[in-house]
Amino acid sequence: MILVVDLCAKKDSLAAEEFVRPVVELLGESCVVHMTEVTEQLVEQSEGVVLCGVQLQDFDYLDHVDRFAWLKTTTKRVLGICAGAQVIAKVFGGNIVQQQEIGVLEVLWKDGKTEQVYTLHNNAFRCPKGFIVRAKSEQCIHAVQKKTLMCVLFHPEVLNKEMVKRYFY
Amino acid sequence: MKLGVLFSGGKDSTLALLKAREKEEVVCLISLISQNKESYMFHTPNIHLAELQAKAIGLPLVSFPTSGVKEDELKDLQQAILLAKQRYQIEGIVTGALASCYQASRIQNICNQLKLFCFNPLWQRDQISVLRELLERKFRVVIVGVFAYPFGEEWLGRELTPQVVDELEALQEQYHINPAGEGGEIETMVMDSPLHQRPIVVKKSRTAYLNYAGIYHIEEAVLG
Repeated sequence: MILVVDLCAKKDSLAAEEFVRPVVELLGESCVVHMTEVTEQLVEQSEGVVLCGVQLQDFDYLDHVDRFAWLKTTTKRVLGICAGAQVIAKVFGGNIVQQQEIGVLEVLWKDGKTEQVYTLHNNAFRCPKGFIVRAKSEQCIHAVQKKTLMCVLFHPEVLNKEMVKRYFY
Repeated sequence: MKLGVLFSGGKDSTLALLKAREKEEVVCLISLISQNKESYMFHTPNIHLAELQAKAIGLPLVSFPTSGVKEDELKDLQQAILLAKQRYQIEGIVTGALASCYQASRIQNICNQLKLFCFNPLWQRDQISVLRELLERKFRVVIVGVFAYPFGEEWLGRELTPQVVDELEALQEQYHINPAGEGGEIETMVMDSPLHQRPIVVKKSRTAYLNYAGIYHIEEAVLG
């Protein structure tokens, strides 16, 4: 079962309908926990983890990065979406930088393919040491990867739904 | 958190309002009254009844006119939201956006500029599941506009029932329409719901229809 982590400021919030529910609907059977409830044990019992995005004006997740130290040792597949990607980058020393993108835009993947994606962020991240940059927009890095850890700044649950499922199954 | 709901009186904004009320404090409704029947952003059929809807639900309405010219209506929307922020100290906006990145990203942008939270509780929902939820939650929804093939005049004024949802699902399979009208195929109006203290009762109506486009005009309505 995939562990879906809600990074919204409040547990069981109205915002989770927008940022967590669509991911759960794509993955099917999954277990949703708020970021304040994630434990290493829950991660190890799961088949993989998704760290979801949050609202544009919600920056609370940046105060909870210490809760994600388990990312350094886990071998599970982890997909970080937007705020979730920023958290993974931050845990591995990649700085968070102000960079706003809102709406549909094109990213360029490392293999030369371009893709339309949906973006919704006031912050982006620098590539942490040991990660490989996979995709960029004109403004910033959009996807980085290190082994089983994948960070995407855009929201694949909106326009790139297959990517979410494909990452785990 | 004090929230304002972008409200058209249609099914999506009313369901979004219900969901917002279950989690947060909704203090006002906000309606853009568009003069352009082909607005990219806003629902237009029977939008003049938003005031009566707000009265039925028991919430104050911030009503704001807009010419409906493509980019001007975004400035008008920003003004309307700013007015609601000043008048009711709202900290966020709720919309009934389901799938339109065009609409959603423009409203997100405005809210972000005004430092307001933006909530879209129906975002990426399966359209048939939304229609079924409306029925489960005892919404009375009437189709007040059709704007695509193969919708005939008989659809105007029809109430949403399990059979109508089945028909819309069949049309989705056959013609690839959006069954909840997300592509502008149909527009709806909510006559009653768990939010309504009193239902809307139509006293006088007429339909105008030509070439798969028509409107069910509600000329006179009262609270039941």
